[in-house]
Amino acid sequence: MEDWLLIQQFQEGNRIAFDVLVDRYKHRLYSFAFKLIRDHHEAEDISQETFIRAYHGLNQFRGEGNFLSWLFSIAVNYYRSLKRKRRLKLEANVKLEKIAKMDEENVDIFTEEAKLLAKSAIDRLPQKQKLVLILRTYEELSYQEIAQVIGISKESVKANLSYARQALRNELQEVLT
Amino acid sequence: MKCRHIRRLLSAKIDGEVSSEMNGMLEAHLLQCISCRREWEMLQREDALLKGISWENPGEVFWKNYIERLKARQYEQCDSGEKPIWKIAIGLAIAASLLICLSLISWPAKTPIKSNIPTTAAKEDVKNEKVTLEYEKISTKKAVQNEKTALPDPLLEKDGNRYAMSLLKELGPMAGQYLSSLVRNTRKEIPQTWLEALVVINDTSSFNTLVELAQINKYRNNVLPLLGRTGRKEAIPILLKSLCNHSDKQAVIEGLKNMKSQATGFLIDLAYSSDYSQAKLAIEMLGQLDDHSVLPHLLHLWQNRDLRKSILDALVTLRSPDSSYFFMKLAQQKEYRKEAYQTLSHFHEPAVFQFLISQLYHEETRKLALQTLKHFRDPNAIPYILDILQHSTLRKEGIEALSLMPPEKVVPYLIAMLDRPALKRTAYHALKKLTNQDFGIESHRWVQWFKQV
Repeated sequence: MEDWLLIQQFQEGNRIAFDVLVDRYKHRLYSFAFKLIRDHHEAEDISQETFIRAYHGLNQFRGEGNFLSWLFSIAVNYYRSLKRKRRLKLEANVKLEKIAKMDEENVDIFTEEAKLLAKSAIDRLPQKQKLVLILRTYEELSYQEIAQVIGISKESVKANLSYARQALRNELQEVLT
Repeated sequence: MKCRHIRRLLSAKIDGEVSSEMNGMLEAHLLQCISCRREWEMLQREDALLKGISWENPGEVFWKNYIERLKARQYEQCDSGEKPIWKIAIGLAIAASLLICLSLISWPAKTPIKSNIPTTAAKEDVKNEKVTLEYEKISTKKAVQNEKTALPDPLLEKDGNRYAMSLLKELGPMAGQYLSSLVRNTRKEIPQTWLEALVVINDTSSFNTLVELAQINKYRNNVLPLLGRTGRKEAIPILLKSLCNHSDKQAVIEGLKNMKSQATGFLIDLAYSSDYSQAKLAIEMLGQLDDHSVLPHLLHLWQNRDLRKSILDALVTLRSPDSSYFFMKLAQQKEYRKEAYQTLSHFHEPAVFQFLISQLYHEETRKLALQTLKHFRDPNAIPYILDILQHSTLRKEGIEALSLMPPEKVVPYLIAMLDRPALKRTAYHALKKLTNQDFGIESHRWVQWFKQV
């Protein structure tokens, strides 16, 4: 059954329709959150909170843009609020990144190693660049959709993606050449 | 179009987000420009690398109860979020009465009547205090200047004398020299109030006297904390030296705590020094200072393998939630995984426990999580460990972990497992090992026995 039909049913009072939507998108949402935060607990937290917020807001959903993009935008907002709240904890992350960087210098270049390096390089991107890169590369959203999800202009999506890729290329130069 | 403009557009090209006209222009440029073509190839390789990354999946077990967990969370939020009207009304009433009480309590203090105009008796008290202070000042000054008589006894020996310390401070080096000579020449036990007075005066001779006393066994434990209270930077190396030479750990720690941020700064510098024995000592002390601002430094120093043992001890002593968070993050990086799990076994915190449970469901981390969980001896882990017994390679470790739990908690689970054909044998052996009983491989006899026990 199409998303819009399930949403319509939910809005008419069939709460089970929402379970179908959860089942359909839980993997996508979880995996998106995990790429952002690289922590299984927090990824589950983000995905669940997104569904709960979607549940409460679904009666107001008028179907502009697709349902998944709408879920992503809720997840992005929650992720941003988490980041604001947990600045202290992120201190530890910064140190961790330093450690990772230190070891990167001596790593042999094998494909799996390269992927590990790429992951930690993505982690280090500024928040906006990380979001656009993940939404484009892994969630395959168009620039227009990304712009709606994050709440920025299409031009800004384009620029941020270009900067993100440039930053990654700089970090992964040895692996890529 | 210049190359730098072209390069900015390559990212959009790879996403198919350029118009066909623009795409044609870019293609034409790439044909003739070697450096932009190289950039384009690099971008394509980068895109392939990123798309080829496989992201960790939490596993089937995680998804099995996802909706139930989601609903439980939703119900929890409803419980805490939606309050019935009567609860809100009671809440408002309580808040209002609290406000009234608070205003009644604070009102008299804010009025000038009581605070600014003392009663006649109070006036008299103030006058007497002033007279006594002046008298003591004069007599003490005289005593010190003439060095004929000792400092008035009540001044140094009466605990909590409210004038003594301020007076000595006012007299400064003069009192310091006098008291130092008294300390050196006395044959009696030096009273604690004299030592306290040296800290209050805190001039060079008083400080040196304290340093000398710190070398004497019977005074060391009392003097080391006081050295910290002088707030002098020179005190830190003396405190650390004392720690190397003797074992007055508690007194040294107290001394360093008394120095507050000064000691922290000094110890951080020392922790980064190339002299590992000094660095280790500084790290140990940093853990003791109860100052969580040192955490980023400890985590940064983790890079140095030789210091890890000391850092671990310091982090465990420091007990900051951010320490365990750091190691949980570290545990997700393959290269640090083993050490991170070993470290986590020292952090018996709910968040760490939850983390380890979740890691039981990942193939890569299952074994390490189980080994770490073993140290927690937490019966809440029993159902999860039993789940792990399905993996034949982990059975031995799983049973070992279970054997560390209280038997009365584990046995019912194991008896229940006897009814699951795949785990029957494992459960049977575990039961035998844990209970020293043997009621065969069927559950009913075990159930009978357990009921009697």
